[in-house]
Amino acid sequence: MPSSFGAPRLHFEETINADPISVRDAILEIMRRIQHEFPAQSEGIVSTEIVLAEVLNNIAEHSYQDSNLGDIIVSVLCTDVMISFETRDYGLPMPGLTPPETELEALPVGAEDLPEGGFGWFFIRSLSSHMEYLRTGSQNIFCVQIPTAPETDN
Amino acid sequence: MMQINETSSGVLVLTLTAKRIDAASAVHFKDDFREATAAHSGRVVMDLGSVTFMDSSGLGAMVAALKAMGGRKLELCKMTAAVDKVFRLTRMDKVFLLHADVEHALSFNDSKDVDAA
Repeated sequence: MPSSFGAPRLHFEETINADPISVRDAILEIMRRIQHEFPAQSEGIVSTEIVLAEVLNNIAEHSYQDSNLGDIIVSVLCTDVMISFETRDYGLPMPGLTPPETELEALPVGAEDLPEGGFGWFFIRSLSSHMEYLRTGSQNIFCVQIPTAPETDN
Repeated sequence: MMQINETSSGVLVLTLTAKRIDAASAVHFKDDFREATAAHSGRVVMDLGSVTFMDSSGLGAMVAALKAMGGRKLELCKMTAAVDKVFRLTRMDKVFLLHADVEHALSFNDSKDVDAA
């Protein structure tokens, strides 16, 4: 690992069931541990929680098709400048074996035409600095990295 | 999930009590919102001060709530940092009417640029 990522400060792994309540509980527990280690990095922490929620909920909804059945193994690695997650699951592969491309289109003028979904990948892509997806055997592996160093512009 | 009050001037104030509007609570939120606003044709102000986290499902539920208003604005106040972030990233902050808090929202009522809906 390049030295610019900094030395690991926190590294742990959890296995959770792919249902919305277990996912929420896991997010709360993971964020509690991260925040304990990095109490001052509020901006990076907000981004981290959003990305973590989108990644885990995507697996529950798409990989495991909202069945509320299936394991998600999430491992968390934190350094002083970034937080990275690796998730593994045994559900369906991503269509096209690649994360969806998402652009935020100009919002329509009428409220009736506003999108009610499709924000998840947009959040993951906008808030992360790096992501990677691999299908190997019956396993999906997804890695994402969120920069957490304090922003210089505020 | 929300406390419902109506002011003497007929503004419906929904004070959320939930901490997270996420994949686990989005459907519940949409149902509660529809029920709270079904018989109300005036302004709706939602106090989001208790909501410390919102994900894409939660944001989708907010958009569904706006659509249920049938062309009226949905007014939001006391956005926390995490909620503010998802609204700004998706530019939804331009679609809803945002106020600092309920007091500002209600005094906005007394100014002129409110749709008569």
